[in-house]
Amino acid sequence: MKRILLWLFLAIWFTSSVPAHAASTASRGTHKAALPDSKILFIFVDSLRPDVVDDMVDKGQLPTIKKLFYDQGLRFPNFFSTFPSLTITAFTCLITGKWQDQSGLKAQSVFERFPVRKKNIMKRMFFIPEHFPRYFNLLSRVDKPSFILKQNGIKAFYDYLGEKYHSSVVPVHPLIAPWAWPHVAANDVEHPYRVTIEAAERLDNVNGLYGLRYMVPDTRGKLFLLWFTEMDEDQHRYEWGQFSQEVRKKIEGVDKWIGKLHEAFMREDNGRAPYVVFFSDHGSYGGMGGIYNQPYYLDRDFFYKTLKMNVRSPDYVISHPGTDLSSFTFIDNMGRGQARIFLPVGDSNSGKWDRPNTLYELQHYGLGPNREPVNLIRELLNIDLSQRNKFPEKIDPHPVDFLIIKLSEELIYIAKRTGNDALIHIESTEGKLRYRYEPAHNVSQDAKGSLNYEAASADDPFGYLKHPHFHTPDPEKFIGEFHNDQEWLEATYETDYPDAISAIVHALMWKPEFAPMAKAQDPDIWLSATPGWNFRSEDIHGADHGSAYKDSLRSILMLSGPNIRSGIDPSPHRIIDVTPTLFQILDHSEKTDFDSEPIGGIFAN
Amino acid sequence: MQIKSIAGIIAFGFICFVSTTLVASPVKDSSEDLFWTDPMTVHDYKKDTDLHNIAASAFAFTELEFVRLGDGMIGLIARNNKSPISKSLDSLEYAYSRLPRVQPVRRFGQFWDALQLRQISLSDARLANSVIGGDSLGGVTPLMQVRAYLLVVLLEDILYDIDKAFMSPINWGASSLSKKPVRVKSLGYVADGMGYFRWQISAGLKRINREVVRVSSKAITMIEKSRDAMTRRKLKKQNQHVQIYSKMPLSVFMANRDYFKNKKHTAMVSTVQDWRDRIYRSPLALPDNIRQENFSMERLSTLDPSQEVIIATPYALWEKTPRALKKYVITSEELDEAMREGMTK
Repeated sequence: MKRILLWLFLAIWFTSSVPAHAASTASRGTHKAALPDSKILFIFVDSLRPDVVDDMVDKGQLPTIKKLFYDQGLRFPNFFSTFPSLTITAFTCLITGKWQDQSGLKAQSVFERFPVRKKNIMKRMFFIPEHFPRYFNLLSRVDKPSFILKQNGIKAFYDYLGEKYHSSVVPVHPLIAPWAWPHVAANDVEHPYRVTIEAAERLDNVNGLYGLRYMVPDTRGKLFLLWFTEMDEDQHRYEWGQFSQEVRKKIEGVDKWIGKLHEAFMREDNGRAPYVVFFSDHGSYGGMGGIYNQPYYLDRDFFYKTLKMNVRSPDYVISHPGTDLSSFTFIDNMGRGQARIFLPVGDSNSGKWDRPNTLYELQHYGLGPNREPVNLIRELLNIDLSQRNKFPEKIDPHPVDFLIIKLSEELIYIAKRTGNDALIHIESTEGKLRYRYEPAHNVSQDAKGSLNYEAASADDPFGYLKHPHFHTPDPEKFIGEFHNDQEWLEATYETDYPDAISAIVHALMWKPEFAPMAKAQDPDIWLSATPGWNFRSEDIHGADHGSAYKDSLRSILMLSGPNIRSGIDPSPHRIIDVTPTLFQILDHSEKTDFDSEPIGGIFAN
Repeated sequence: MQIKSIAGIIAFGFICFVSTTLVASPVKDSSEDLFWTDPMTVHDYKKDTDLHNIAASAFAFTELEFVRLGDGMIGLIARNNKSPISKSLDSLEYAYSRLPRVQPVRRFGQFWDALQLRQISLSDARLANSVIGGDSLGGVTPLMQVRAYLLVVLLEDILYDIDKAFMSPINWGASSLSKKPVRVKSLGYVADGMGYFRWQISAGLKRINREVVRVSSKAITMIEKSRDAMTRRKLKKQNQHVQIYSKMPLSVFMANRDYFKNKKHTAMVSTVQDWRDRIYRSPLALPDNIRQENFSMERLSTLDPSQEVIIATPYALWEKTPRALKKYVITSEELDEAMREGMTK
């Protein structure tokens, strides 16, 4: 009897993994949803442009991507990033499923004019002072973004999924690096005595190897997220950006890693394919046809040399000898396609940091007792680099495309050099935001705060009104009314500034609970770079991101796996739509708090 | 010591993907260039000689796998780059991957994987040495934590297997009767509980690791800061004679004149017109030739207090003046401009 039971047990044990495979094979094509107990292999390639992938697939350079997402699978050619189109911002939206105004994490650096929260208990106990204004580079303080999310009470993948979420080194994670990751790095680099430098240069390889060794055998993980970032690093320093063959080798490298990982997951799961998500957090502009972005050292050449101000930025400090070093302007130019400018109130030497400047103050900004005040808005918009423009026929010599100023919680001002300005009116109904975009001329404010402008009808800073692909039957009527995020996305997704209205509003607004942060963290001025220029401090030529221009915002989303339908979904989507979609595939039943809904129609009939 | 070992290993994971905080070479003639003003620091992650990098590299050496070291040795002796040990292990792994994925094969593979034999490294040797030798210089490295974690996972999986096998007749019967899938567990609950504690403990350990990394990093930063202070002192001394120009109303200067009285360093104060007449037109009297007699209090006190004066002081003296005066600093280009303006008038 005992022997029979033993054999029975062994027989069941031996065959217990077979039905899963058989079931998965049999169910293919019959279900309209994700298979139960699915795994997702999430491939996140930093900054990859969708048109570059299309081109490389056409040329046969990406066989795995072609097999998974072009021969089968579902592609979303109209998929958009956040503004600013930066890794930390976009990735945070992905892992939280929330807009920036809801998560409170808005850029790749944080600048705080004054404290809005109590000091932590350790600092209070040991009387450790905090000095304000203060700033953090969120790329070098890798633990900071997740700390901010926690402080703000925002849940991310690692909170929702626990051990079901397994990532390589990624831009936002509370535990910095997985346990075994340093070991993999130490043994992958050629010279272990230069491990920190070489591992950073070989991050794709280290992450890929980590995935093979530690994710594939993981019996608990469901969502496996791997970050490939070398291509982004390289595109910044190659004149042809992602159109350079050297940079494309990195993309080919990612393709090989996807192939290896996919095969390994299949093997481990008895031939059952995982769901594969191919994703980029944002695109990039520059490089096409060899027309690279030319650097304009906004901090050094404009603020330091022209306006004689001391300047600080996340990775740059420059001060005039003898001046008060605590008087400075802070410029967050991360991503280089955008710049957020923080100024002392009223005058560069005022030392007052209790609020952002008003429009009037910016239009009459003081530079100390020995210099005349300037209209900062016009000065920035009128920066003219004709003398040094390497592509005079093709590139506008003005490096600032447009600038953004938040006038109040209900009003944002968009200024363009041509004088085709606009105001974005914001209304909130039951917690849902709606916006009206009003073209305007001659926007100004008097010292008492009254706003003056002339309404314009034909021209607007984003060129929506004259764009042939502004999807609305009556553009003038459309812009005369308030619309929600989805309506703005659907109307603008094929223009030069897709989804710009919603993206800008969410970048500058705060949900009511975070209201005190507005005064402390809102920039005075936000710049978006003209295509062909960046706000870089290094003398390198290449491609960039950060701006609100279409090439920066267009990103990649492709899906493949059991029951995923083949083809193209042309309807526009955003990063925050991905999160609920992933949770739908995982059949996650616990309560979530996402700002969006799963993308519909991804499964085959 | 043990915790430090853990921290150090993770440190390079921490550091290796951070971007630089400050450019290594400051802009010429800026305050950072001349005086190494805060937050300029010797820390530069791009340099091999950076202390954080050195610390991380030291721990990286202890993570080198014996397989890699063995291949290196063989390569050195045989003068080729064939990596025979790695290749043999690759072949074994390949052969394993071709086996059908029935549960015993999977569990054996999982066990093999949990041992992390291929990953045995110098840090394991360090632990072995500490156990054999009874000293306390070893440490539970992250990879050892990984092994423990994976072994517990394996144990849970085996419990699930047993549970599934023993409960399958019951589940099959219940499912048939109710016409929907039923999954009754027995030992599975034990495995669930183990899984919960495993996850909580590992999360706690990871947090401790992170905090220790942070503290270690701060300790290194403290050492760097002392080096920064030395550099700062040296540069300040070297460049104490750099001229700082300022332009302010005479009344402001008079209110603060005591700050400019210094035996060691001299300030030159003159009205804009005086500067034009006496200094700018006379190349010999340019800033290096500042003389005490130009600083004539008697004469200044007779002038209109709303009139502006230009002050030239060496940095060593200007540094000690009140913060309120710093906003009056003008650049040498602005001084030049002010002089030329007057001459063309």
